[in-house]
Amino acid sequence: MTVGLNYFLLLSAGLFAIGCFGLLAKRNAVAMLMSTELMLNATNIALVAFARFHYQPAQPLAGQAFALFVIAVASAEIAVAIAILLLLARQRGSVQADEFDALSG
Amino acid sequence: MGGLLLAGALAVVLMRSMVRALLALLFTFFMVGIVYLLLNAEFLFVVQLFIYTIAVCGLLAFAVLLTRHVRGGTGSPFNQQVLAAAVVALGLFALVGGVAWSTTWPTTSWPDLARTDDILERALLTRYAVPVVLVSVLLLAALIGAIVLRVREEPEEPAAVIPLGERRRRRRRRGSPALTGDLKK
Repeated sequence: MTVGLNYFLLLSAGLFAIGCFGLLAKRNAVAMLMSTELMLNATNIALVAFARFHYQPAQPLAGQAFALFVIAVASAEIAVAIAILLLLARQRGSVQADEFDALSG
Repeated sequence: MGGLLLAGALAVVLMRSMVRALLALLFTFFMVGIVYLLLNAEFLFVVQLFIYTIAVCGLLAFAVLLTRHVRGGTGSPFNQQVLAAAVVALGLFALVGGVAWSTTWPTTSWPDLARTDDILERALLTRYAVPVVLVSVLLLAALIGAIVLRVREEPEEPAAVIPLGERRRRRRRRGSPALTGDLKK
């Protein structure tokens, strides 16, 4: 049995759905960050799978280059998000996302 | 392999303890790296190993350990919309997974490259040179932003000249719990 593109895309969809569930359902903001990372990894798997199974000699490995950019942006995002989270944890004494209600009417 | 990856990801989401969730996340990131290896992306495997399993998990470990003892750590890890979230996630998986599975994707044959990193770095330095510069500026901005966020909360005046009662009042106004060391004095 040869593992084709469909298997990797299914894997990517599953990982994305799990991350989506975590982002929507978790109360802890750090756990929500982790779920975001899961979703970004899922998109990366899809990109790299397309780069592997849809190789274009004109634009070689464009999917892998895109995945690299996604990783860079994700690391920037997580650095800022953790700084904000630690600040919030110190100011509000909580990391539960449903207690951050300063903007609710 | 895929089953292990999905099991790790599920553990991240379902674990009650944040430290265990972090360990499961580490495992999941490593498994994603293995998937990259299977897909002939050796350079991305190394990047995944360094950035995700070391840097991001290290940062998240700081976040988990520093926020471990704050209020609200006990109780259900899920909010009230857990059922709706499960429905949305399952529906998303059925939709995207179904399409991904049933579609006959146009594929081209893999040229069996000896080294993919060669091609990748040539592409990054020529075709994607401008995005690389933009991403580096973004990373620099994120770094400076993270530092500024941490520095801004330091008190402007030196703490010694502020009377103790005033200091306590200010701290109460800021809403953070008073340090026990100051209260004993």
